[in-house]
Amino acid sequence: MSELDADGRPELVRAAHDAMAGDAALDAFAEAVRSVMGTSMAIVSLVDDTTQTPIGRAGYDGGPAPRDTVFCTTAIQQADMLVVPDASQDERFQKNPFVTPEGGIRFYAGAVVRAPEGQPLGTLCTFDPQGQEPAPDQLDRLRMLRDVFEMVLEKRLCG
Amino acid sequence: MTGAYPVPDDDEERLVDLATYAVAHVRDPELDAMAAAARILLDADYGLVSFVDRREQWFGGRSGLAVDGTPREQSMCSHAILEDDTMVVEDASKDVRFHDNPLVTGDLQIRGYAGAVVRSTSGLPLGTVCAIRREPGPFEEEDVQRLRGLRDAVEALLHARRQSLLRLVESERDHV
Repeated sequence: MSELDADGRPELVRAAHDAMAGDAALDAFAEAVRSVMGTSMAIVSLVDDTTQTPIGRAGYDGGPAPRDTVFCTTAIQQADMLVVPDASQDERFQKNPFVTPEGGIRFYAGAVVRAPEGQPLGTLCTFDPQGQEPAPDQLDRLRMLRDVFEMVLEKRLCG
Repeated sequence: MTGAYPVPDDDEERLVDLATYAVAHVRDPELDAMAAAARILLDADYGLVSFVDRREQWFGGRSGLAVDGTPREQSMCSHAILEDDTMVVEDASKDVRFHDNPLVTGDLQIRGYAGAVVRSTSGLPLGTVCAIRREPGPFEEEDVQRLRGLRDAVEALLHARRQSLLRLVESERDHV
């Protein structure tokens, strides 16, 4: 078992999924992230012990993906967020299956979504085939959206 | 009181301030997310970020209902912006200000209302972030506190966006 999953984190991820699934708020948060960052795709994503699952979407139709292939798995191991201006120039991601195809991902920004007790569950994230350098105020607004999303998640988890 | 709404003393000044936020007729994905949060955090049926303009209120963000705005005289938020901080109505159908309001008597069936005033950087009221229930009943203080937190986030988003808008206008001006 990975260190990432040592504290019952996968069970919390599944609880978060069950608490939020199907709520229109999820797509609304994804749309908001896309709007703030000026990108073509954004998702609300959960990452359990094997799989990343998009639970809210804007401009993205992809389904669940193996955890070891996705940017969000790197993101949830950061304190606050992961920003990759150009994945083709980043040795962590340049051989990634989402990056190497024609039209693959260049830009990624994801803010870590945590459970009330602090465990990382997933991200509010955005990605685009065009590389970009986000402005500080865009990242601040992404953080604000994440903070509000965490309040919503806590409400749904704890009533 | 049908057809009437309270007008703050500083309404003209307030409307000038509101215009600088460029929110009329605009639905905003960030504010939609805030409205969805208001709906969920307060166990409500509808969540709104509403801007009170001269004759209308615009729903810059909305969740749970498909209406872009209403005439100002139907706007509960136009009453809320006269408050210092928040307005809570437990049962609009029993409140003399709202009992014959079409939003209360009609399909939307508004009963419970909790709104927190959203202000401009100069402190003038622009509108509210509010949560609305179809069932009457009290809002817990904890709920109202959550709404205040959300209001603070909405203000921060609006102010940050206005700042980038102003920067853009200035840089365009420099190019001319």
